[in-house]
Amino acid sequence: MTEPATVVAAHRTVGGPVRDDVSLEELVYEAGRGALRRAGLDIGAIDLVATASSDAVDGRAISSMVTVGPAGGYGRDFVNCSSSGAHALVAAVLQILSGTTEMALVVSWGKPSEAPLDVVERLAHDPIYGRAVGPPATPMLALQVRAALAADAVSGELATGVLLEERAAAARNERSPVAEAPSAAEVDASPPLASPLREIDLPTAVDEAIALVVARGDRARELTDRGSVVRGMGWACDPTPSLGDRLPLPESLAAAATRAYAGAGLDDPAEQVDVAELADPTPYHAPLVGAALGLDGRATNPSGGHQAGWSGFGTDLRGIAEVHLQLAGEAGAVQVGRAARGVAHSSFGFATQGNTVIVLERDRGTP
Amino acid sequence: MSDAVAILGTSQTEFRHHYEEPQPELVRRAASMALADAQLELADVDAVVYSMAPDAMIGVMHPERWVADAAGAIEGRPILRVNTGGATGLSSAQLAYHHVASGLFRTVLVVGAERVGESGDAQMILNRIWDPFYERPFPLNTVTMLAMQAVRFADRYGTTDEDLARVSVKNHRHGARNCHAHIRREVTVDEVLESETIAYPLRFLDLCPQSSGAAAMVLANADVARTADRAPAWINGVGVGTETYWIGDRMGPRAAADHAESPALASAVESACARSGIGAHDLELAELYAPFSSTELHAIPDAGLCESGDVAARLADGEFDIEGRLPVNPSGGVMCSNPIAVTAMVRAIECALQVTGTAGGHQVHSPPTHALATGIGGDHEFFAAMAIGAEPRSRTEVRA
Repeated sequence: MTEPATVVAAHRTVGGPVRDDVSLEELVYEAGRGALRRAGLDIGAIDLVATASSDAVDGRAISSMVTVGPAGGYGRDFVNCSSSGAHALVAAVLQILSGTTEMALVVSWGKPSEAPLDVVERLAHDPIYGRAVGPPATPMLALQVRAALAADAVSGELATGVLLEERAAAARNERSPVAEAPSAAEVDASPPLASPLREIDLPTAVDEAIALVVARGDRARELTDRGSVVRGMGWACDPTPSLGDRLPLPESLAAAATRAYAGAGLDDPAEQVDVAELADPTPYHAPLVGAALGLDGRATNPSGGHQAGWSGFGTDLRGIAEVHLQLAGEAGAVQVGRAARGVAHSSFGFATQGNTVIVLERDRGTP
Repeated sequence: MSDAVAILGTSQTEFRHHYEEPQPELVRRAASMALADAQLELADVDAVVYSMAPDAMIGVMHPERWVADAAGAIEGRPILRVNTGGATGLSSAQLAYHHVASGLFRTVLVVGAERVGESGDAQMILNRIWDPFYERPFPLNTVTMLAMQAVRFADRYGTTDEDLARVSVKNHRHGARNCHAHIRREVTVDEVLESETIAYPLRFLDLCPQSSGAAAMVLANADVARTADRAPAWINGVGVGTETYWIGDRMGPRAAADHAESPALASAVESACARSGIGAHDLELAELYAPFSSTELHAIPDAGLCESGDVAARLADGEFDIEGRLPVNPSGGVMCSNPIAVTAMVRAIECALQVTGTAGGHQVHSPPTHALATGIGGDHEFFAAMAIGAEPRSRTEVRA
């Protein structure tokens, strides 16, 4: 029987939302070094480095060139995905399952203090139709939320509750640079951005890098009895960046979940999933995505979700890291209890055009 | 986990300076052609890998979101994008290989397109691959970077400007036979030497063109391959190596590797061959990523095809000609077409065509059993290799 891929360790860089004390290279090194330390390894044990980078956000052409070294990639197998931070994990798992890799370091990052994400995102509009008329990312999200409100799929009251809960969770989460939890009055007083979104609804941009050590199952068990087995992976992207008829949620979300659940053998996720980290670029999204994924809302985004900071590609990988920490019982102040199975979801593009769903399960020993 | 992965279908558009079609239309064209070649429908495809190097080349951030429809990522079909600079095309094919070899997917489409003139001069964009504080203002571009490499190689191994010119002559002669090639005219040693010096010792005719066009491959597992009505090519092994980002780290007493050569290319080829159960001496043809004549001079020995000190003499003897003992770049190689997003993928496509005897006007006389494709990305930093055979090599057999 083929050995599965198992997450052995995870590390999120710490520090304030703006990490102007370090360069991008130093931030990436900090993450990789942290994950290796947690796994009890040095870089010599790694045979694959898988990264995910965004040229536009990093402000360089082929930005993985400058980060592959700090990520530990010199002299070893290397792959870089540029579609989602979570796709670095996908690539590593595929290589482990194909038998060419035993031990991988998976790294992604975002340093938005050096790149205004709302401006950069506009360059993703196609140059023929979209860029001439296409709005920035925030109004696109607002249109998506408006469609959900019109369909009674979510409410403003529910979103406000999610916001307060996630900001409180983020304040408890020692890995989150977002430490202040607003009051209900502060939420109400927040100025509007694009109806129904208020300034406070949008996550704080943070500089962060995330690294995971992922190993072939037998190698993972040599290192830890707290590994998280990757049981299912699904990823997809809706055909067009424009909203068109994909409101309120893109088809790629259901497609990614269907594939991931099938891989993990899940048929009743509300009962079978103990913890979930869902991408929520606004507080409206967590309940919307949770319902679409068939989750019952228990233990959703205990880390604070995107309210614990958003860095683009780095945050994509962070959700997977947080689920692993929950399954390993290493989530600290935001630990939800003894969780056996978790779902990590991430999204990218205008109004969540693309989606990735990963199902992790606490390692129960030899397959 | 399955063993070898089949190349069921391939496509290349004609490569030229400019296409009127926007990126999605080129992607769609290449995908449709490859599927037709594989005698499959899009519905038969389980996943898509999109091959696209720097976003800035076409002036759209994250173009994978723009082309998802055209690439066939509809109805929930998974798609992801790979970007390792010039190596992207082969890195993408490698990740598609891992999709299939993982056992999770039966059939995977890998597709990409390049419109390199879309955002002005490619070298202007490629200057942005370097560090903004130290190296970018030199100003470095891929020509000046590899000119320094060429000088260093010449210093170590005694190669001459005439040796560089002979690489160009060989590849242009090959490219003239290739109906897909961007540059299809033969040149002489004198013409190369008399062409304008761009960055010594590299002259205009030592350099690749800036090409646009698209390419695609359809990869499948052995079960799907058995249903094909013709023999496919097989990916029998893949390998990757990386070197330092900082060129200054590739010279001097503390250098991890010398800028004259690429030991990471050697390790990538060794891995690919070892996984195929062969050695470099078993290779009968190579499509090496060599955008400039100087690159081919070091890539041939780095791939294990000869010693560095012998490469010029063997080249002069015609050993690497299309009629030679070990043809190198019978397609004309990167020197005759360089659509960056898919250039390295085309190396694998050309190997697949050669081992199946379907390369057309530039088919070598006797189809090889084992061929090698390579890719190079970044500032000579990312190296990819793929061993392609006429027959599948089982991993069990390799272990035995």
